[in-house]
Amino acid sequence: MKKVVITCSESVSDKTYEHICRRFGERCGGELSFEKKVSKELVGGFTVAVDGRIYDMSIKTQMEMLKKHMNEG
Amino acid sequence: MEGFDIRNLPMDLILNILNIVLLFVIVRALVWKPVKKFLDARNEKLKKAAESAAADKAEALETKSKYEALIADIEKTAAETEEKAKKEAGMQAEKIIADAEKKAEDIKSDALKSAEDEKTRALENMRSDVVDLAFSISEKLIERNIKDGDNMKIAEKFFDEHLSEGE
Repeated sequence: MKKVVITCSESVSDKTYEHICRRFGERCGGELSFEKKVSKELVGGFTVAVDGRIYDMSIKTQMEMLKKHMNEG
Repeated sequence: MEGFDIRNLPMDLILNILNIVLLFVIVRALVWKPVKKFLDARNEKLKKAAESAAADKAEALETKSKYEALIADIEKTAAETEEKAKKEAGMQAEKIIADAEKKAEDIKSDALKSAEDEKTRALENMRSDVVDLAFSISEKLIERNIKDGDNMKIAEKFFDEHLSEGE
């Protein structure tokens, strides 16, 4: 069974979380177990850790990348 | 006058004449010759002394002439050395001044560059601080205003970009 850890920002509702879990089930197949974590630091969006990989869809990371790009420019 | 006859002369006069002649002979034999010899020797001695003095004088004059030439040569060398030293000192002074001016120019150039670098760094830091502040404010605004619908869109984007069916 694959374990999926979803770390959400405070603004992610339960409905959205359940939608994410459902879509995971549709896309990945097989048995999946989900764990929810909440982090204020993400600002918005979420991160997903599965199969040793991390997918970062948080607003925080997007803004950090944009800030880095602006500072380098 | 009648013929001269020595027998008519008085005896005293004859004796006197004889005395004078005898005296003359004796004086000539006993006094004149030694005195003359003495005077000749003295003259010879004086002559030799005069010759020696003349030779010494000539030698002294020659030595004086030699030393005068030597002094003239030394003075000439001293003048040349002084001239050369003055010239070298002048060149050295010019070189020192040129080096000092170049050094001052380099210091000024370095100072200007340093100030320019400092200004650039300060502007860069200020820009970075402004960016950081802007992003900090933006994060807070986003955090305050983000809707669940936005999170839903992020989720859909995630599935479209990272997960295809069956992965």
